Amino acid sequence: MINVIASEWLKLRSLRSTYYVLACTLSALVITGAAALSISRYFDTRGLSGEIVGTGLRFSADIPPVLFGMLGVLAISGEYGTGMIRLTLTTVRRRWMALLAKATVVAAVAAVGGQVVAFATYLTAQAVVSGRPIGASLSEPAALAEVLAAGAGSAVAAVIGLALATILRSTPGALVALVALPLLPAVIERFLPAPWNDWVASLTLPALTRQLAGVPDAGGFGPFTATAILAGYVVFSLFAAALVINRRDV
Amino acid sequence: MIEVTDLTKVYGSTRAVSGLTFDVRPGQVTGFLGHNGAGKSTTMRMILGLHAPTSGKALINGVRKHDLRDPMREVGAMLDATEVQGGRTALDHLQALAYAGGISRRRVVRLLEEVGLAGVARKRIAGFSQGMRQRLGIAAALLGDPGVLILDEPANGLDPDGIRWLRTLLRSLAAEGRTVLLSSHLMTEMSLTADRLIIIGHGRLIEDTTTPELLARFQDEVLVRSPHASRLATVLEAAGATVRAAPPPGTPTAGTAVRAAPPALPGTAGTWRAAAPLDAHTADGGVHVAPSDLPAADAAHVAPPGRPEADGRRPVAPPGMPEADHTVGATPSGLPGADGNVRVAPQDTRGADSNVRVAPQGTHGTDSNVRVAPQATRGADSNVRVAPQGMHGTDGRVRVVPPGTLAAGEAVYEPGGEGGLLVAGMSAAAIGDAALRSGCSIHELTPQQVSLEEAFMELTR
Ligand SMILES: Nc1ncnc2c1ncn2[C@@H]1O[C@H](COP(=O)(O)OP(=O)(O)OP(=O)(O)O)[C@@H](O)[C@H]1O
Ligand SMILES: [Mg+2]
Repeated sequence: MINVIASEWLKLRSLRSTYYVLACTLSALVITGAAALSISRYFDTRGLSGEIVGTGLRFSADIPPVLFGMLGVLAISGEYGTGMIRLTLTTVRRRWMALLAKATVVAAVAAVGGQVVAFATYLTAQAVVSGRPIGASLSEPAALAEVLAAGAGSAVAAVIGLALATILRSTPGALVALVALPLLPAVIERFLPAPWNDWVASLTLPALTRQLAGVPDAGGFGPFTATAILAGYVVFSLFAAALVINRRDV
Repeated sequence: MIEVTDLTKVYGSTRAVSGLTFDVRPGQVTGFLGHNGAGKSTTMRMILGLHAPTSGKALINGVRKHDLRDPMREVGAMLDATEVQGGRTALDHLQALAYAGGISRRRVVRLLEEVGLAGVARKRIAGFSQGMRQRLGIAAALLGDPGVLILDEPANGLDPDGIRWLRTLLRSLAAEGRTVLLSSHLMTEMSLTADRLIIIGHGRLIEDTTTPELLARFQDEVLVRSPHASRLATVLEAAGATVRAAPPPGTPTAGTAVRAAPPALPGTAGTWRAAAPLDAHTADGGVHVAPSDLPAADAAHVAPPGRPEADGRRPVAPPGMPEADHTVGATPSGLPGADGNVRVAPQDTRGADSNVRVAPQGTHGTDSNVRVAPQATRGADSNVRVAPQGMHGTDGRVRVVPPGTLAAGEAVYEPGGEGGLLVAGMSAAAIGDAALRSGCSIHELTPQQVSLEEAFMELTR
């Protein structure tokens, strides 16, 4: 299994698309920076009466799940697209091993990448805020937890992306699903009575990430439930994808 | 060892493979033949566990692919060399596969050298030619040094050097006791590479045999052209042979793939031995045939020089033959009363088909059997063209063809009464003797060199 992981690690490293996707995560810094700038301006004229910047992560919270999800998609959809998957699957003892190795690799890259992006986003926000009392300090446990939860959220996104691409076997299909799925709760929410509507809205990755960190008003679940749901996402998507990849002709 | 038992695959309404049973044994190269859509790739995918059989089973070394302990070391496959991600370099591609099998980097580097890609190892595969991808695919199949190799059309896009390299490689791998299953539409290559042949059609087994056996089965006929065809047929049938009419010349069904003549049949009727070359630059640039008592001096069997046959091969010339555009002089001998010279020279070597015209030379024009007209009547029926095939060795046989119809040396002008016979059950020499005894003259006597292509076409019709 270590061998297969080494193989998938090299595969991920040796494709340009990986680097393009990672580069795109910098857009999170831009968005957060812009938001922090406008809030800082407001503060300069009106004082503490308005919104504060805090860690700044929430302004760009939708970006990392989509991009790291895309990383997961590309890790296998490219192989389906070219037919390389046949070669990959002849070299492994069990098909799910290839899937699990890919999941391990993209999750690890997304966790690290997501964490780096989260810290960079945080630092960008604080740099823009530059000493105004509307930022946040990592010495506050809540702020640190929020930043640290970002890596986990990104990793889950990558695994979900991988699973979607495995099931759909198409790059565009998986990307559409990746973007459309988080919108689903917002749609369903309206048709559900309380407290279901709150819970459904709390099921998106960005919301779960913040609930994981115990950010106030982030959703209907506490950190423990959020962790369980995120783990459930990983297990369910990997299980579904493994079932499909084991059964289907390639 | 690969064992396929009653293997069936149905895709929707398509029965791609249907009750297929065969073994691929170690120590041999086994060729897998079949028309497009016959089910070769589907069978290979099922052997490799990529597609699940609808019924039946396919085993590698006694187990399903799924149950192989160390798949890369047990089976190597190349299904489609285009199925690679172009963004990667050749080295990364192979290295990634090598990691999966725990294979050393040294092996990767060595294989890149062996397949001739060492120079482009760090180039992206997207920029590779078809042949380069094919080489990369072969390298990937060989990575684990597997005991079983499954290659789907590996020779596609390879240059002649590459094809030869592949042939040598596969033969040596088989000689080491490995199992090699190889599909290809290149019949000549297949006949040179494969010891065994598995031929399928519409997903069903048509033939499971050895290459020599298959070729021998279609090779027992001798083509005879004679002006006394019907009489000769009676004579030969009386001698125990089976005789049927030969298809008209130009029909690529019988023994036309390689036009090399068999070794001379000394003393048998109808075999002409060539004399020394004559001057090519005769006054009229023509070719002169000076027959004497020859039954028909138009018996110049010839193919255009240097022209590839339909399948891309060139006619094989015996060593020591003159260049195609040199004069060919043929002296008939071994024929009763033969004393005339036949001289053949290229009439116009610039012509696409390098035809050579044959005209009677002077005094011998009265010979009753020579159906050759002067050059002036070009285009007329009796104006025959001959293209030198390069058979001007010891047995330069000559055939005459009508003008304008010389396609790859196949068309033959047949003067009145001449007919072609395909004789089975008698050797060429015996036919010649029989003809000599019965007084039937022979223009051509060629054992049918049946190619695998023809045998394949015959079987899969
Ligand atoms: N994945 C698939 N889905 C549906 N039909 C298929 C599939 N793969 C093959 N077929 C059908 O199965 C039949 C056999 O195809 P296959 O690719 O095995 O032929 P082949 O012998 O390899 O032909 P070729 O010489 O052209 O490579 C064809 O009719 C093809 O259309
Ligand atoms: Mg095929």
